[in-house]
Amino acid sequence: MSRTEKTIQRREKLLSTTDLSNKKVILQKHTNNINDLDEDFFKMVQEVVVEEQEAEIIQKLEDKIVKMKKSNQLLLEDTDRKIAKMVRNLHEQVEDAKEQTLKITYEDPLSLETF
Amino acid sequence: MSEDVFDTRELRLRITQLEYEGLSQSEYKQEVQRIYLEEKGEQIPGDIKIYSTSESNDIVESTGYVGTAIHIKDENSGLSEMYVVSEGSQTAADWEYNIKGIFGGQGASQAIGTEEFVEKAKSHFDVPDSTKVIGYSHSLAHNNNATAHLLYDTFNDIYSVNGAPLDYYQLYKEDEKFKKAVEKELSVNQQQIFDVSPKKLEKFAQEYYKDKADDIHQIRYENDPLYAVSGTRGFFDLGDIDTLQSNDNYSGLRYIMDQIPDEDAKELQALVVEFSELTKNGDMNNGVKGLTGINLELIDKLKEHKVTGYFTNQNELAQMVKDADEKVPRLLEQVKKVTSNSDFIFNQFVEAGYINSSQKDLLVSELTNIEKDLVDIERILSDWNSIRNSSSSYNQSDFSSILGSDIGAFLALRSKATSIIESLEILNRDDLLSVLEKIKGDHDITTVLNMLGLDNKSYVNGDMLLKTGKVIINMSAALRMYEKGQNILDDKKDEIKKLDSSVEREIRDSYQEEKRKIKRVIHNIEENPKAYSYLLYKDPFILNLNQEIISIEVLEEFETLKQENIDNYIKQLNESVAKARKYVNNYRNAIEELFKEEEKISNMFNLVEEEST
Repeated sequence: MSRTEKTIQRREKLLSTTDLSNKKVILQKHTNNINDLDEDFFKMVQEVVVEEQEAEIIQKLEDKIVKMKKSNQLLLEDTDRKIAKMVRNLHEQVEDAKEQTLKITYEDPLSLETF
Repeated sequence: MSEDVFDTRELRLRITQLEYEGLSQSEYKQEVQRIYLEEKGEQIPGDIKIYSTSESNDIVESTGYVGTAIHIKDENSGLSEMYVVSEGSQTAADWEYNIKGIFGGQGASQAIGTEEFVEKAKSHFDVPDSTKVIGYSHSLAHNNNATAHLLYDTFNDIYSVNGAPLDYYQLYKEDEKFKKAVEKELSVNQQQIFDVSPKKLEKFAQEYYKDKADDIHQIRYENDPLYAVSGTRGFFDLGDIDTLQSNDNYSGLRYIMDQIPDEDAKELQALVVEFSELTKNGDMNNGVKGLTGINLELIDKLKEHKVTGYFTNQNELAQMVKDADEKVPRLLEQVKKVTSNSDFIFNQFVEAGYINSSQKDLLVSELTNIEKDLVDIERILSDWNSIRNSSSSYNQSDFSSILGSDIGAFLALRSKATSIIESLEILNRDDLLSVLEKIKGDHDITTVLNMLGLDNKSYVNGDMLLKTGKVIINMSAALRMYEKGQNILDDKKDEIKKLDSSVEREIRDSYQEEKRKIKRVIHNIEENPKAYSYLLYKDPFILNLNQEIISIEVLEEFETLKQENIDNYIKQLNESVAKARKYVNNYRNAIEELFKEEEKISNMFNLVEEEST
């Protein structure tokens, strides 16, 4: 009597799902800090002029700071969105990598050669 | 002797204000440097060291005095000056000292504390005797500094603003030589001192201490409420006084108070001060308890659990009755002095523009209600005492009548105390509070700074404002923006760097780490295939359980991490920092252009730049 070796292939998820949502929190902590620093900076700038009338030079600076503030806010919002997307991609690719093809070789008693 | 380092009124006043800011020693030093730079456009000419009463708690505990010493020293020029900034009324204990010490001519512990602190500071800084010692003071602190100077020759000079004046009764008690001179020259003894004409005593004190007068310099706003109430007997001025006239619609607070008889003014002031202190955390019950002794919370307990409350709180109830018995008659007397003249007193405030006639009517009517409630409270206490005194608790029926009268009296007291609170709440209206705020504001150092009539300068919250044409620039804020704004931008740059490296770590490195974990599992499967037999039976076509795993090979497939790049965002964030730096410089140039006549502006920016690098 001889045994028969058989081989099958199957896709298996080798590890359970990992929660990576804290990555977003860790990264957005930096953008929050940057936002806080921006706010401190703009507050400091806005305290400088107490009253202005007919001072073109100051008016230009005030217009500029409004634009700067808006542009910094938009940039941080975009960065946050980018971070969220990166974390989502990371999650998907990690989960994909966990699924691998396994080639399993085994002895099958049902396939015993009988004469 | 050469001019002091702080040689302008603005410098002196701004340094005096620092004592109220609650600064640490390093912050105090920075603030002194900042103020000097803003006022002079140059660095302070020496090293600064700070010593405060917080380092010698024994003085604070034993005398109540609080202050800070600033030593300015320059080895090269031989400069050594010590400034002692004494703190004005801040705490309830300070006000108690004001009322009992200064207004009552009793004790001079804070003046004694001033002298002790100056000696300690000299020894702490190890200054030679030749070092000039200059005292700065506001409010109560002027009385401390000036009294210490008269008693101990503490200072070379004293500069004060809106100060509590010297008090000859206080000096009579503390200065033995002055006491002897008064008694000898005016032929009086201690019992007769209050019979001597205040004018005579004032003149005598001014003459007696005239040698020290040259050392005492004061600025006083004529609407300062402390000045307004300082016309009462005991107070006298010494030294030069620069009185600033009112230029708003309110006037003559001192005149009002001078119209009010001494005793009534003192009672009004004592009531206001005591009540403000007792209710400063917004607790009206505490105010009523402090003034009348009636504890509303305790009565409420009694109301809820009549008999058990009565027995379990016996000690507190007895204490409350004792307190009320002591406090109510005194309070009633104070209130009566005010209400009996309330029409006249508050009319003075109407005429001076502080309140309108309907506000006056409200004040008069609510004070009258309070007086009526206090009279009722006094009657309730008296009736209740007579029932208690005529009964004996050994007798069962007497005991019941005591219990009944106690509970009845407590509830009646509660109703009257609640009525007082209602009156106080009516008086707590925003419009009346704003009058108090205005009066309080006239005592502040910033009010005085803004009344100095400086060409283009004014002050707000410790900041210096400069005016050119129709533009007002907060110069302190501009320098802060230039110096600290750059620090913020440095911090932002660091945070962007951290974000960049976090992305590397949290995304790219993390992917590699997850890959390693998977590879470890793969390795384990390939090394111990039998442990993974269950994988075989997951195949629906393998029905038998006797198969035996020989090997498992994992056909590894790992894709390279496909990530969009964050570099572009990091680049833009860095650019935003560069733009902000450029903006700060442009702002500096704009301010320099606006104030091109003033060379010191540019110098100020250069100096803060040097400091920050």
